[in-house]
Order: sequence, then C-alpha cells, then structure tokens
Amino acid sequence: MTAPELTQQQLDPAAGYELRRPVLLMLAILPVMLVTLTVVRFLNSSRPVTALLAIALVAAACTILAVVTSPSRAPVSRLSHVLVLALAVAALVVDVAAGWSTDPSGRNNLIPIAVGVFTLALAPYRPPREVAMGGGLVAFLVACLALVHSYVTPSTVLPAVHVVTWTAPVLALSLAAAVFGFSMLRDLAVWRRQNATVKLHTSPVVRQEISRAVQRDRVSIIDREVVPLFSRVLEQGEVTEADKGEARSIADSIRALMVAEVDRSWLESGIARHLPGGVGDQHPVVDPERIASSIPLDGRAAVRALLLELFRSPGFDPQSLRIVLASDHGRVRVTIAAHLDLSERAQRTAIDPYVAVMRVLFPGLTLKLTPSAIRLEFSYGRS
Amino acid sequence: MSLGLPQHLVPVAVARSITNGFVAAAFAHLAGATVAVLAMQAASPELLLWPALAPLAVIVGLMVRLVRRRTTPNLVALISVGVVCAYLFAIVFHSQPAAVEQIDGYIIAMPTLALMLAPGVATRSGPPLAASVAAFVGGCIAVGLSALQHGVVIVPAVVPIGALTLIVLLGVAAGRGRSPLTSARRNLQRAQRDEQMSSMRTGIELKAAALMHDTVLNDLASLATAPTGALSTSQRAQMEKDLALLLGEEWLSEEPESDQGDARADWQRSRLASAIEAARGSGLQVESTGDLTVISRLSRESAKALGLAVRQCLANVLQHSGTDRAEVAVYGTDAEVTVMVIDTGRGFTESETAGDRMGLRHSVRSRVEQAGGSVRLWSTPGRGTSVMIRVPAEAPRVPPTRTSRGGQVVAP
Repeated sequence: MTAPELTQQQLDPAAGYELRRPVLLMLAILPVMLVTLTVVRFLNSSRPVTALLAIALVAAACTILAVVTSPSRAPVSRLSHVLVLALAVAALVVDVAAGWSTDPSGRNNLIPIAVGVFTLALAPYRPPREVAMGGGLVAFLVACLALVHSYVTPSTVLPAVHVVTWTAPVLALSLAAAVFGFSMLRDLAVWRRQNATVKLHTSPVVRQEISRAVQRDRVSIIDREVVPLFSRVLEQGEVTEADKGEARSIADSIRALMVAEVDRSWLESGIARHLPGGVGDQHPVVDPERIASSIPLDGRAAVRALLLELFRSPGFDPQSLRIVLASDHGRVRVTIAAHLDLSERAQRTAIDPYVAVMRVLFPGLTLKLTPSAIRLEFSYGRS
Repeated sequence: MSLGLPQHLVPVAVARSITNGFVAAAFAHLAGATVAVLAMQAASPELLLWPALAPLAVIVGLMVRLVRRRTTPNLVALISVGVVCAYLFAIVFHSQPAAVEQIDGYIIAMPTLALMLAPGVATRSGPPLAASVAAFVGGCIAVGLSALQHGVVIVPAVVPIGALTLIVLLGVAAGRGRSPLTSARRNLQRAQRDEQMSSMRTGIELKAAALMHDTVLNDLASLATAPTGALSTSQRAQMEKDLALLLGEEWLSEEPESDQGDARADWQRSRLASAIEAARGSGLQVESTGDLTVISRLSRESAKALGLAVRQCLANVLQHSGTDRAEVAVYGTDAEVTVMVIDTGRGFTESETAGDRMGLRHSVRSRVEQAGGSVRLWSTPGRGTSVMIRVPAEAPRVPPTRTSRGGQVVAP
C-alpha cells in the first residue's frame, strides 16, 4: 500500500462514499443552470454553436466528476482534479467567445459559478491545499478572461466589477472547499491522536480477559490429558513403557492441536466463526503460502466487514464463497468470489461502501458483478 | 492509517466543517463587495459610493460575533440587522442612476449571500437553515424594495436562488444523522475492533503455544524418551515445576511493571543467564562468550523473548544434536542485541523437519518476531547448527565496556 494523500477520502474512506450523494446532487443543479444559460445564449448569441460547445464542456466535467467519485474508482486522482478544472476553464473561454459583442454586461455568465461548484464537489476527495491552489489559479484565469471580455466588449459595467463578479463565486466556493477540507482533516487528526487504535492494544483489561480465555483453553487440555499422566508417574516414582507410549501419544495430539490453532489465519478464523451454516469439508480460504497474515490491519477490517455484509445479504450462497491468496513477484493477490442471487443494482447498494473503502486501502482493486455473482480482486505489496 | 471517524462523530464533524466553509465563503463575498465599492468609487469619484462600506462593516462585525459565540440571539441579530444593512447597501447604488449602470446585480446581492451563508448548518436541520431562508427572503425583499423605490428594474435573483439551493442541499445532507449509509461505517468500525481483538488474541495464542512447548511438550518428550525405571530427580523437579506453573498462576498475563527492574538487571540476573544455567543443570556444557553487558539494554519483552528462545535452542541441542556442548555468543550494536547459539552436533535440514515440530518455529522464531526481532539458522547435516537471534535494544547510555580478554568473556 502506498502512503495516503492528505485527503478526507484517504483518511476516512467511508466519507468519500457518504458524501458522494450530496456531491452528485450539487452537480445535478448545474444542468438546470446550464439549460437556462443555453436558452439565454440562443436568444442573444450570434454564435449558438459555440454556446452549445461551452455547455458540452461543462457537462463533460460533470460526467468526469460523477465517474471518478464512484466507489469502484476511488480514490480521486490529481489528474481528475486538473482535468475537471481544465474543462471548466475551457468552457468559460468558449462561453466568453460566444457572448462577445452580444452580452456586454456578462451578467448571464453562470460558468464561474459552475467552476466554484466543481471545486466544492472535489473538497472531500483532494487535499485542501491543492483545492485552494487550484481554485486560486482558476480564479486568476477567470479574472484575466473577465478583463479580456470587458475590453473586447464595450460595456457600461466597470472592468473591476466584471472581475469581482466573475471571480467571487470561484474564490468563495474554493475557499469554502479548502476550509471544509482543513476542518475535516483537523477533526480526523484529533480523533486519531486521542483515540488511536493502539488504545485497545494497550488496554490491560481487554488483554487480561483474552489471556484468561486462552489460558482456560490450555489448562483444560492439560487437566484432561497431562495431569493424570504426570500425577501417576510422579506418584509411582518410575517410568514404564506404557507411560512412555502415553506421553508420546499425548504430545502428538497436543502438538497437532496447537499447530492447527496457531496456523489458522485471521481470515480462516473469522470465516469459521461467521459463515452461515459453518465451514464445510472444503474451506473457502485457499492460502497455501500462509500469507493472509500479511494483509495490514485496516485491510483485514475492511475485508472482514465486506464478508459480514455478504453473509448477511439475501441470496448469498455460503458454499460458493472462495477466497484465494497467492504471491506474485513480491505482491499478494487476493480474489474473493461468491454467488449472490441479487440484481446488480442491489449488489452494488450492499457492497459499494466497502468497495469504496477497499479501493482506498488497495488501489487497483477491481470489482466484477453479474446478476448472480460477485468477484473482487486486489493486490498489495508485501512489506 | 485508520478507517476514519466513528459513526457518532461524523454528523458533528461534517456539520462543523460545512459551517466553517460557509463562513469563509460569506467573508469572501463581503470582501468582494468591498473591493467592488472601492474600485467603483476610485473610477467615479463624482459618485457617493463609500457609504456602502458602512453596512458591510456592520455585517462583518455581527458575523465575527456569531463565529465567536454561535448562539440564537447572535444569529437573530445578524439576520435582522443584516437585512437592514443589505437594504442600505442596495440603496447607495440604486439612488444613483450612474452607479446602477456600472454595477452588476451580483454585487448588490453579496451582503444577502453573506447573510445566507453565515448561519452554516447543524447536525439537525433547524435554526441555521431557517436563518438562511430568512436571510434569502429578507435580503430579496430589501434589495427589491430599494429597486422599487428608485425605479430600478428588478432582475431575478439567480445567484441567491442557486446559493439557497446549495445551502439547503448541504444542510439536509449534514442533518441526515441516521442515514442508511452510516450502517456501513458502523460495520467497518466493528470489524476494525474485532480485528484488533483477533490480532491481540493471535499474539497471546502464540505466546501460549510457545510456553506450552517449553513446558508440557518438553516434559512429555523427555518422558517419552526417558529410560524405563526410576524417575530422575531432575525430571521429577521439572515436571512438578511446569505443572505448578501452568495450573497455578496466570502465566499468560503481563508481568507487573515493578518487574521492569529485574528485566533490565545485569547479566547474572538476566533470563538469558537463567536459560544457560537451566541447560547446564540438564547436563549440557554451555560456554557463554562476547559482550554480556549488552543484555541490560533490552526491554522486558525483548529480554524475556530472548531468554526463552535461547532456552529452547539449548533444549534442542540437548535433545537432537547428539552433542553435549554448545556456545552462546552475545554481541550488541546501538540498535540490537545478537545472540548466537552454536553447536557442532549432527545438524539438520530445516525444510526436512516435520511440520508439526514446533520448537524452532514457535518457541524460537514466532516468539522473537513477536518481540520485533528476527531469527536466522544455519545448519549442515554432520557439521552442526548455528542459530542467530536478533532483538531490538535501547541505545547505550554509556559506551559499552570491553573486558581485558579481547572482548571475550568466559562465564565461570
């Protein structure tokens, strides 16, 4: 796994999924604005085709944003950020060209607002510093375009007013996006500092409880098998052939039990505990190299949560579950496959939040859904 | 890395962050309005535009007050006084036809936008959202009234309508305290907790397995290979001691902190020395060499793991090597302590040992790795075995001292 960027999506992967709905709704406002703009442009512009091109560019930026924020494509990259802003600026350039000489006031120009909305929509997905810098750069370009527009197109409105009118939404919404991001990251940092996962590890009460439970298990074995033999040998003060045979037999059975217990991975234990109907003759986990333990703790938690969600889903066939782990040139490849008798939409609704989290933890994760099956693959470098 | 905030903190954190963002946008709009007024005044000195700065200053003051103390009275004061200020701001421009030609409706709407954004959002849609709607309605009426009074054409408030839509949308999103999406976050948090418990249990099970191996399994193996007849004194003592240990006390619990001093104690009281003494008691001739003082730099955990691992290595020498001599060499660097257990016995091929042999695997390797160390093994059939154990150490407080025998210390 690579070092995460300082974004809300990277540090709180579930938030990237949770905030997607408001982000999509925000983007949905834009077409309404753009339809209004289109009507105005058609009525006033001598270059309706150019106006339409501007609309298309904004629509393309909307589409890219909607696609890159999808759980199966997380996390959002810097390239996507740059691409969205570039399309928005291009739309503004084309729009300014379309409105020259026919819209001297520039009052109907809503594209700077659209640019601001794009920046706001990217706030949970990109570092706040990058959002602020991107917004500032775009605001500068918008200010330049506003000046060009006011000098090319005669107008009673002052150039400075043009600049303020066009740049204010970009600057205000970029600032809002950056402040939102900084605020969320600060809350996350405080939470992680105060309630880091190590807290549980250092909790002596929890550790003692588990220690006692493990010890109880071991002592019950000793009580049942070893104590009678040792007591007898100690009492009689000599060792017989029968004692030696019994000692060998007990040692073999205890050793076999302990090997099986210690060798069982977290994945096998978790599945044995939670799989509906229990594990049958063929264990769902295929891990011949015993590499499940190399999955980092957060990755294990995400896989465990995903599996529990699958186990709870109606239409899940416990016998169909297969989890295969294999090493490949220093990386571990994990494949999770199962039959899930649900529509693709229902499958997505159930597992998208977990996929969003796992995409952040394991970049490159792929998900294939068919109406009756789910297949998820990811890999990570072994540390 | 973690999987983020717990579910119950998310609505509060999101609402606070959205509010902070909105407030920043509100100040940005007031700054924009100020720049526009100053620019227009500079461009047209004959106009009387600077008085428009006064209502902006009042709104800034009320907003600062609200940011410092987010109370309902401060919110009501901002909206009610702010709407009057928006009216006064508009009237400065509307009362001068030349100014109306030079300005944009967006600039006139900026105080209203600031008033709409400043209340922010709450975890439950309530006062802030109502305040934003009130600011929108009040601001539109104020600007419209000013325009009507001075015969200025009223234009649709496109930007305030868009802003209101955005505020309502994000306000409702932040107020969805019990969204169905939060169940996934809850499941993730629960899985993370379970995983931590599972990881802790695995560590404790490994420790239990190693201890079981060192005691009961060794005793059973010793019994199985003992000559028929009277039980030896040392065997009896070992069996009694191990049974008492395993059945009597909480042998998996951490030792109390007061033991820290013992773990860091000098060589004579170290677990490594005890392991060597125990092996000597069982009939193995052990020579300990190297810089033995470095043992005092080990933490309690490392010292314990090292002592028990060496004990198992020496038990292996005794049981499997076919020799009764072994050497324990100790070396230290700033970062780690290295111990080598060397014998010149019959040796073995590690890959050919049975899968259920646990001594080297758990009592040595797993135990040392749990303490952050590592184990390497060299063994050649017929020529002997060397096990190198490395465990992390604390940096020396004083330069390590060497003995007068060329760095070699031979234990008595």
